[in-house]
Amino acid sequence: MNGRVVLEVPAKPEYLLLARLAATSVGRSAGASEETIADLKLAVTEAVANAVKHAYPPDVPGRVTVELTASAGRLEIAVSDRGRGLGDGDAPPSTDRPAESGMGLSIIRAIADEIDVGAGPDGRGTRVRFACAF
Amino acid sequence: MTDVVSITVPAAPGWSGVVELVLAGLGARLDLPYDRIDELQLATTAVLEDALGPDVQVDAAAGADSVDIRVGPLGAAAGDPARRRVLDALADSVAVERGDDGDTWAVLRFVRSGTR
Amino acid sequence: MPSSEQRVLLVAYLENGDVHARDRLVEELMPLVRSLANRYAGRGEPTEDLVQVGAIGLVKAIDRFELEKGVELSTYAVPTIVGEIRRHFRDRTWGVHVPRRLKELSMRLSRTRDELSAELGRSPTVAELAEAVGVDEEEAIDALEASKAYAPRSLDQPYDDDEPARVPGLADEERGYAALERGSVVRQGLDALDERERRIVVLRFLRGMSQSEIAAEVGISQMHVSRLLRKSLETMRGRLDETEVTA
Repeated sequence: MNGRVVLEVPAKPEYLLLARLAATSVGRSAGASEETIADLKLAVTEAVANAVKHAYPPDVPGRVTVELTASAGRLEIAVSDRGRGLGDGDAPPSTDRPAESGMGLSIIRAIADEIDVGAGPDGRGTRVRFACAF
Repeated sequence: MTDVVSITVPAAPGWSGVVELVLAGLGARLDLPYDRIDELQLATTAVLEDALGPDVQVDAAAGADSVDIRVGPLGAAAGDPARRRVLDALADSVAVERGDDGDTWAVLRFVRSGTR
Repeated sequence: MPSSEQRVLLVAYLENGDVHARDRLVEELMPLVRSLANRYAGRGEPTEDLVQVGAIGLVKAIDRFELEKGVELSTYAVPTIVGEIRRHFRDRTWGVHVPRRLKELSMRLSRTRDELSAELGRSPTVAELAEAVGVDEEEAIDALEASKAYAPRSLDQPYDDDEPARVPGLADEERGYAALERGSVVRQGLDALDERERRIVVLRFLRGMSQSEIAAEVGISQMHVSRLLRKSLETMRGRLDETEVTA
């Protein structure tokens, strides 16, 4: 089934579970295989964990948005936040975020068919978008 | 501090499963007894059937004493008395309110712990 | 098609093996098959597949039909049609989209849920269920939710596809259901039940599950479900009557 789901949660580790469940459900509705769904869950975990760990200062109650879009044979996920960016607007990803977040991105790059990383929707924060075809 | 989880899905029958699964996850995090999770899911998916479309949003606010679920925007059928009676059997309170843009939203409250 | 004409076709097929007559009956009842298939649309299976599967159910019903019973073919066929569609979901859900392990886990969780409920005096949390079964919470949630794919989660008049019309206690269930329509008084009625009874009533009337499905979900026999259901409805009825007297 084609369509778009948007999940928004507090940037706290306990809510990672909800992003994984959303990916599982949307993936199944779209008819993805269990292997593809496992890949998507891993990728979404990396992306959301990244945001939870690095997007906001410790006491700031930030939020993370996960958009899941299912279309024929393709599932796209975009994880965004409105906190610290990876770089300054148009600048390429820099060291604003610790090296760990680079590792998370490498994992996603290894799993997904497509990935792009940049500023969030309003030019603030970060958006990591990746897609798997199946 | 109240955490709010928000999920927006297309207002079509096949998408209630995503809402249910996410609510199950939230219920697990809140240590709700599973029967309570079931009631929460049933009530929420029932209200989803009244969605105006094209999308519908479910906001779940988890406080210390209760879980409040807001669903909207809803269409004309939202006030249906028979539907309302069934919701009353599942949730501790049911309210229908007007949002800022004149849209109708349902608010279901589920009291936590103790008796229903 | 008037039912007298249907009878002629049924006799031609059932007594004389006239397959052409059967085909005409199938054609005649396809709108019924379509409307039932549409009830299950949008759950991840193409509607056309559901229609074809439903048609198989219709053919089975025609094959099994007994002329002497005096039941309408369309009424008789509905449980079989719905049964085939549900079986299709079960096979597709378990076999194709969901691994076997999840199905086994789902059944273990169902049993564990009942055991823990008895032990704890309340429904267990996901964490308690997961720990008892020895899996992580996410897997437990997945398995618990997967078993809900069977029935359409609708609040329409509950439909029972597993049982013939002459189930004992059906009249009780109907009275009970009528009782459920009576607003917040219903809550008081439900409150009079213990947790397992309440759950069975909710599964039956709000999720439209058949007694055998409830039996599978709760982990007891269907006869036990039937007994509990009757008892629950009587209790609820008693509580509702009490309320009316004092109101």
